[in-house]
Amino acid sequence: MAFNLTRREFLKDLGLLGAGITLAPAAVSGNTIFDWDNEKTPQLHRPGWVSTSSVPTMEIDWDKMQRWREWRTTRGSFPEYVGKERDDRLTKLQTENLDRWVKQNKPGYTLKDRALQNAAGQGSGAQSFLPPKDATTPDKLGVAPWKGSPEDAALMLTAAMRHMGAGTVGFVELDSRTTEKLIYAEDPDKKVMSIEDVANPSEDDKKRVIPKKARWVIVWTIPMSQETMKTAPTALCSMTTGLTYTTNRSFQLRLQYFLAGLGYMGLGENSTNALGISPALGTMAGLGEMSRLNRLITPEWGPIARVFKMVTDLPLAPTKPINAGIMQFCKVCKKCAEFCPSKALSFDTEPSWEPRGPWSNPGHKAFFEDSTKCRAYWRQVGTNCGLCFTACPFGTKNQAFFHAFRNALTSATPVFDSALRAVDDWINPGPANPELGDPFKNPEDWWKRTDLPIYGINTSSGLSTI
Amino acid sequence: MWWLVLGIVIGALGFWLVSWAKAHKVAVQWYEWLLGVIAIGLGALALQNYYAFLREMEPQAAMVMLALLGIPALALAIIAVGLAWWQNTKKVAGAPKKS
Ligand code: SF4
Ligand code: SF4
Repeated sequence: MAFNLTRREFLKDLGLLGAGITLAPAAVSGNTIFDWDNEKTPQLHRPGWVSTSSVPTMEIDWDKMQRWREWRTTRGSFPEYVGKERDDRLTKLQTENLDRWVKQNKPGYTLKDRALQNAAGQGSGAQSFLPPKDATTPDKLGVAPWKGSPEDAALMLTAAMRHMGAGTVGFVELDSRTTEKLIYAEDPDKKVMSIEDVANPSEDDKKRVIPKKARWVIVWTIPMSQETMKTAPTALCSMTTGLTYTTNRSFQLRLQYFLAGLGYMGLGENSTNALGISPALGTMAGLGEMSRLNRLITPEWGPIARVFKMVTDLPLAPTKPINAGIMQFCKVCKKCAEFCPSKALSFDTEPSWEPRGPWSNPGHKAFFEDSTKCRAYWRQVGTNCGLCFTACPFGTKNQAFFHAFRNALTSATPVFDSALRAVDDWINPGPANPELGDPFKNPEDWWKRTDLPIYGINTSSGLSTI
Repeated sequence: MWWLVLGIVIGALGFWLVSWAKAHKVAVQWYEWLLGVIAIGLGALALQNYYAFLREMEPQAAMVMLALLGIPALALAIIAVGLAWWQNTKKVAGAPKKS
């Protein structure tokens, strides 16, 4: 039977086909076609394949969870966990390796890499727990503080924060039985983080006081350059991480000024990773899902983003945790664990309630890592590695249709997870037999690229690109 | 934008193909059209992924996607055209000769 279309019918069908082909990428990425739980979270425009949930994909036992002392992580207690002798040996090894590599011009550790790494850490604003004193407050202007609904406040903050450099923004309401436990009991400098029934925040030699009325946590991501991360674990790769922290210090100060200008307090991280558990707060705010990395994976940038937070007394409509099939995918994938040169990451198929050492807090079912192995590798190469982030299939630049297809499929069903992992091995293979410090992608190629976006970040990610 | 251009090009080519088939009294079966449409869809996806992966600075991924989607697209297109050609030549060959 032959098709017997009139010319008019045929043209109509061709038009539909053209429209279908034209709109297909947008439909799968869902940026414009679908709306992401807009009733609950009007401020977030997430991809259509991301669904929200009242609980995160990582199980939490709030009764078991206690407020954590940040300095118990390997950031603060590495020498105690591995012993002084090993710590000294690693320090010596680090000095020797970096010294040799800079003289040998090892790609990623050359003079120019080290110079850029150093440069990217400069020029940040002052980082403080307490809000700035010199802000132009409503009081100084003789007007009342800003008033509006928690939804309006969330919308306003998101718009302001996106403009100042945040990738995604979410909000968590503190509850003493649950989410408040994600605020550190002690900061990296061992100061007690005390939540008290007082009007104003304060700080002395021993403690920082958060007023009880400051019940909301603003959580945000700052994306990192995926292409630069691909040079992990080199000094060049560490540069982009450093740049994100530098950016955030200035960002935090601006956010504190903004909140003060509205008549509210913004209590910031006093130093890197202070105040509260970033991945946990990011998970509760729906910025991403926990993963085999025991870190956050975002739908927008995979793990190639840093998470930051601030406590405020400005009432904000909380955003909900998400389920995009990421944690489920991790059960099958294991690529990061295979790539990890120190074998620090878990190879288990299911997450566990048991931490692998005193550096992790109990009370959540996670893929706990041996953090001392990871740190020991960092010390040997003199950088913060990041090979696991780089290997992750979700850490892509999301321009090819395949990424949207993979994300939609991962979210819809776990059936194709192992096939998708296999495809990722073809498209994101990495080096076959790397030696100590060898990069995922050649840093010397990076130095020839003058067409990377500003800061190496595609800032239109998450927005409609038609 | 490029998708719009591609849509227009495919639309124009399709229109020409149908007009040509009609003018030459070439009968095309519904499944041949279907195979053709799938081939065009896969081909468009192959192109999108190829160029986007190049923009992502992942040349190996670009080649993998070109092969993964482009080869089936090409195979389907060849099958669709081959089937239509074979059936039409068969018909012509089997037609009663003019006396
Ligand atoms: S940062 Fe490096 S050493 Fe640490 S877990 Fe990741 S891959 Fe392993
Ligand atoms: S590499 Fe695989 S297992 Fe590891 S975090 Fe990414 S998706 Fe999960």
